Amino acid sequence: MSERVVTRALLVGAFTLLVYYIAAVVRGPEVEYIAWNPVHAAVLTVLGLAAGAAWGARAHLERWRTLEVLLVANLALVFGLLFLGWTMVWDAAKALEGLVPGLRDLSYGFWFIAGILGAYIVRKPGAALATETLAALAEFLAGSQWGFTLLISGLVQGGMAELVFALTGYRRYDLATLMAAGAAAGVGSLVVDYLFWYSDKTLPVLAIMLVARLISGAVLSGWLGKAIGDALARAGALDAFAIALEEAKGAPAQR
Amino acid sequence: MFTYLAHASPLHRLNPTVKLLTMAAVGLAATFVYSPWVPGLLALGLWLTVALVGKVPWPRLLRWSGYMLLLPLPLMLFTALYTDLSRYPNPHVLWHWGPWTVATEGLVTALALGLRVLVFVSASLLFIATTDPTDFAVSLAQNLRVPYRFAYGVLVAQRFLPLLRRELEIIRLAHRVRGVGEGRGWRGQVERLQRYAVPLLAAALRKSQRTALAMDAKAFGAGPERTYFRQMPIRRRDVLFLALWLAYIAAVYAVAARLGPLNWMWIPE
Repeated sequence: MSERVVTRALLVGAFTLLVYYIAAVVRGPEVEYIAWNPVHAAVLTVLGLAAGAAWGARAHLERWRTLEVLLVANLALVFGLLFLGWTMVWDAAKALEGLVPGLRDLSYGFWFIAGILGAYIVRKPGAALATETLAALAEFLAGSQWGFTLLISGLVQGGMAELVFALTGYRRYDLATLMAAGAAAGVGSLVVDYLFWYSDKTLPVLAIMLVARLISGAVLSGWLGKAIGDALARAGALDAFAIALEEAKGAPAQR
Repeated sequence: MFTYLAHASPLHRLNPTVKLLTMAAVGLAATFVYSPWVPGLLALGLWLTVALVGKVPWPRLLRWSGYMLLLPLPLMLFTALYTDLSRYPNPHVLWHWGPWTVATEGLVTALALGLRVLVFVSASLLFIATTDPTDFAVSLAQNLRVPYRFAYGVLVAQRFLPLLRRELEIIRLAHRVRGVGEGRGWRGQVERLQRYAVPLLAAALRKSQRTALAMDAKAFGAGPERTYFRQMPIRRRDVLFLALWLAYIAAVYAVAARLGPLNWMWIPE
């Protein structure tokens, strides 16, 4: 079940890298605008990985229960609005930029929480992708300043988180997995932001941003997502979902 | 911020998916270069389309425009201070203090990025103000092959929005009646966000469970395909809209290349 997500992610990722390699190296440096650049190679490969994971996860979405579809849609709506509100925190964190450029990205991780929480509750292939993408759609339709780029960010962040869950075979939903998924979404977010905003930044600044997003993705999405999911489960709001069934058994259920 | 305006205009009659893809194309066109002319002219084109073709009422359009112009200012400041000047052979430094250097090149980049935000927001405005949410959901399922249960799920969630707002008000009053104070400033807002998140989410989840039960009882999602009352075909006018915008993008690039260097973002090292 998880193999399709992983193989397609690797396939598309490798294919993107290959195309870039051919365009930049094999064809030679006389092509003016395409020269081999390790940063660009990494950016394109991560984009390919996320797109492949999204492609692999899509077919699984057809088989969800109505209840799960509505849960994910509602979760996405609420988090889309919270994401819009988080822009305030992001603006306030601008003060950190004066200390070390890139440090502000420590506040970025909250924006991946929808995908992590959705996957933690529903525990099915496609959950991280669908929740994160729909939350981005909700934020876009609510009128965020980032406009349609949010849809791409949502897809790539959700796709990268999805890939982590697929690598565990959709069986493990402990803190470590959730934090890894949040960190992976952080990598995806930086790649998209590089494409749209940060291609003029120096390499050290980009490196600080990457580390900051790995940390904040793991903490603000992975850890906080688990905390919120557990709080909701304790409130009895999730009795109909995999999270309640599997936590009650104490061991992950077989699929 | 922006809301759907239910009046008749040529933009309202376009296929939502084609409209969204066209806006994405315009947004992408604004990201490939650092010449401020490109996003500037694109934003102007979008704004004029919304005003003249979209027939958005003037008072509302002016209010929204004022907000849109303020949005990119923080980003512009940040960019002006932190542009990588080592990329330019001899930057025109205007001001230098501690870790910050302001140069003409940085200011031009800041202007280009600020206008880029303006393009994104204008594209959102065009799409949101003139697209009926139900049309959009149906079009997602019919044109983009999004699993239809998700498309309808989004629609249901969107209908819940006013209910959630009321729910938030109830939670707020419930906290207040128990004597929980409300902090001020952004710190207070973050604190409030924490306090409201779980009750609000629990309410949303309970609502979606009841709705899902009702939808299942009416056999929603029983089959892999479904029939539609609304049809969202891609018509000639949709293709024309896309083609006109692509032509405008090409014209903008041609004009901008005359006015100054385009500064492609994928500059080789």
